Amino acid sequence: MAKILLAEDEPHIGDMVAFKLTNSGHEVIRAASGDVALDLAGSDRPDLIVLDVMMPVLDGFEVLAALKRDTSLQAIPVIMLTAKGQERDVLNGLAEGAVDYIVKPFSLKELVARIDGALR
Amino acid sequence: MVAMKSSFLARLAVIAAVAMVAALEFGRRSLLRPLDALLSAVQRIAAGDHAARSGVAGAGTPLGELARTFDDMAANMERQAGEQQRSATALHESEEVLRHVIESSSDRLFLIDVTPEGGFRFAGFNDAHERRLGLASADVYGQYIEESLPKELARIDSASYQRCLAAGHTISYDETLADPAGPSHFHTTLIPVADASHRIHRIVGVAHDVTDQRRTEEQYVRHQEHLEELVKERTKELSAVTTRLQEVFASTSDGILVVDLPGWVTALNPQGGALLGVVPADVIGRSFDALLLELKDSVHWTQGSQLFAAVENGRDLEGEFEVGSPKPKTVRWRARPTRHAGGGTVAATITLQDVTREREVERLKEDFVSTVSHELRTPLTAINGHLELVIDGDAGPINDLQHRFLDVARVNTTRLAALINDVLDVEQMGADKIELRHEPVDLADVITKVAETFRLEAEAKGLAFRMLAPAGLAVVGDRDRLIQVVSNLVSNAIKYTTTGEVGVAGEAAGSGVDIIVSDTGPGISAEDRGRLFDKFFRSDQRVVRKAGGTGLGLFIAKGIVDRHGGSIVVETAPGVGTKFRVHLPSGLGGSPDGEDTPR
Repeated sequence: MAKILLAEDEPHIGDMVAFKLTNSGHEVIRAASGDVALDLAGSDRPDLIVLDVMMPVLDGFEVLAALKRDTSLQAIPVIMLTAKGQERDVLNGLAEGAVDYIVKPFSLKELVARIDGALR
Repeated sequence: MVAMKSSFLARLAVIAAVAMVAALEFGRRSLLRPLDALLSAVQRIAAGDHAARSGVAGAGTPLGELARTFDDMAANMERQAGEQQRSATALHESEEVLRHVIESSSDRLFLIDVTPEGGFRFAGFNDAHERRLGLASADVYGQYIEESLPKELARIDSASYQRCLAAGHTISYDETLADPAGPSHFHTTLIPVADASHRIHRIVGVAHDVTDQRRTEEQYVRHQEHLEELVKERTKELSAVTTRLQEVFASTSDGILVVDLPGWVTALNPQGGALLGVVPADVIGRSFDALLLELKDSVHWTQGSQLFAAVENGRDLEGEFEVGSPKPKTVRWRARPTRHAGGGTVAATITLQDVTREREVERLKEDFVSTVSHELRTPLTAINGHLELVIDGDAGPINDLQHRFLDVARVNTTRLAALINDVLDVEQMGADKIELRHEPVDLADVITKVAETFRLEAEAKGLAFRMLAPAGLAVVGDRDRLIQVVSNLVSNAIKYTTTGEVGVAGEAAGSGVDIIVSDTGPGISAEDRGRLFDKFFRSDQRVVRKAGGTGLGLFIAKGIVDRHGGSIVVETAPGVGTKFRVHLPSGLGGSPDGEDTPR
C-alpha cells in the first residue's frame, strides 16, 4: 500500500495504469503534465513516482531533474515510462536518477512488479 | 817536282854519284810507286769503284799531300754518291706511297693543266675519278677536257676552273650531278698551282662524295619537321584537353580544393570558393593553414590540420564541417592523395559537397520515423493494457471463450509492437545509429530465454522443440539484441514448419560461439538463398507468403550479428529442412567508429 504519483498525459494509458495500481492496493494521484506533476510531488509527498517521458509543459526528464535538485524530493524513487526505447534514452534516464525505465507497450503486471521492487 | 839541294862540288861529285844511285832508288820507291798507285786509284774510281783509295801514306811529302788530297776527294765523291743514292731511294719510296694514297682514295683526285691560252687539259687522275668519268687516266692524258667529256659536263667543269683562276686561290664549292641512280652530291676543292712566272699552270682538284651525308641530312631535316608537326598537334590536343578540364573544374557542382604537400593552395574552383566563402583568386598560392586560421570563425573544420598526415601516408580522409551563419551549411569533404607518375604523393585533392539539404532530409526522416513509431506505440499501449486488465480478471471474471478471444487480440498487439520495433530498427541501421551494449552475455541464458518464449507455440503446432544450452559459453555483446536475433530465427522456423521439430543449440566454435537454429521445414530454394537477408525480401513459397511478415526480420538479424563482428550462414535442403548458424566472436568485432578510411 503506497501513495503513487502517476504522471501521464495519455488519458487511456493513465486510466489503465491507475486502475491496475488501485487494484493492486495502491493509492494513485494523477497528473497530466510535467508542471502539475512537480507541484503534486511537492504537496502530496508520494512514495513513488511513475513518470511518462513525453508530456507537455515539462517533459519527464525535466521533471526528473527538478525532483533530484529538490532535497526534500530527491529520495523518492522514480520509474520512467516511454515510447522511445533507445539505449541512449535508457541510460540517460538511469543516469539522471530514475530507478527504472519501462518501454511502451508494456505489460501491466510487469510494471506492478517493478513498482513493488522499487518500493522495497 | 823534286828539287835537289846541292852545296859543295867536291864532295858532291862522290856524294852525287852515291846520291844518284840512292835517289834513283828513292825515286823508284817514293815517286814511281806512289804515282802508280795514284794512277790505278783514279782508274778504279773512273770505273765506278767509289771505295778506291791511293793507298799512299807519307804526309809532308808533296806526293803524299797529293795522295791525301786525292783520297779526300775520292771519299767525298763516295759520300756524295751514297747520299744521292739514298735520296733517290727515298724519293722513289715517297712517290710510291703518294701514288698508293692517290689511287686508293675514295675522293676523286685530278690534275688539270692550264694552257697559256686558258685551255684545260687532263694531267692525270685517280681510280675514283676514272670510275666516275668512265675514262682511263692514261687514255686521255694531255687531251682537252672538251675532247673527252660530254659537252654539258665539260662546260660545268670549265666554268669551275675559270672561277678558280679568277679567284687566284683555292676555292671550295658544293655541286650536285644528276645520275641515273639519283642525284650525287660532291664537295669539290680546286687548288691553283703557279709556275715560276706566277702563271697558274696547274689546278689540283679534290672532289669529296657527300651524297650519303646529304641524304642523311635531308632525312634529319624531314624528321625534325615531322617532329615539329607532331609537337604542334599534341600541343593542340593537350590544350584542348586542358581547356575541357578547366571548364569541368570551373563548372562542377562540387567544390574542389587542391593543396600541395608543402601546404600551399594550388587550386580552388568557383563552387569550392562559394562553399568556403572566399574568392579563389585570393586564396590560390597562399598557405592552407593560414586559410583555415582566417576562416576559423565561419568554417569549423577541425580535422583540417590532420589532413596532411593522412594524405602523405597515401590515405583518404573524410568528414563534415559546418560553415557560415546564421543558417550554417553542412559541407562534406573528402581528401585524397594525388600521386606522381612515380607513385609518391604530391598533393591533396579535397572535394567539398554541400550536403545541407541531404542532412536535413535525413533528420526529417529520422524525426518522422521516431515520431510515427512513438505515435503508433501509444494507442498500442492502451489496447494492450486494457486487454491485459480484462484477461487477468481485473475487470471481473471472464469465461474461457472470452479469455481465448481476448488473448488473440493481445497476441496481435504484441505482433504490432514487434513490427513497429522492426521498422525503427531498420531505420536506425540505415542511418548507422544502432547502439549495442558491450557486456558479457551467457549463451545458455540467451538460448533458454528464447526457448521459454517459443516452446509453447511450437508444441501447439505439434512440433517438437529441442534445446541445447551448454554452460560456460559467453560472448561480449548486447543480450537483448542477441535474444532478438535468435527469437527471429526460431519464430521463422516455427512459422514455416508443419511437421517435425525445431531446435536451438549453442556450441563453441573457434574462439567464439555458434548458435544453431534448425527445423524440418520445406527448406529454402537456391534462388531464395541469395536474397534471404535482403531488406523486405519475402520468399514466394506458399507457406512463407501465408505466414505474412514484412521481410525485415532476417535483414535486422544480420545487421545485429554483423555489428557483433559475427556471421550468419544457412544450410538448407529442399524437402529436408533448414539450419541457420550464427557465429559470434568472443569479443565485439566490427569496424571501428571514425572517419579514417584506410586505402
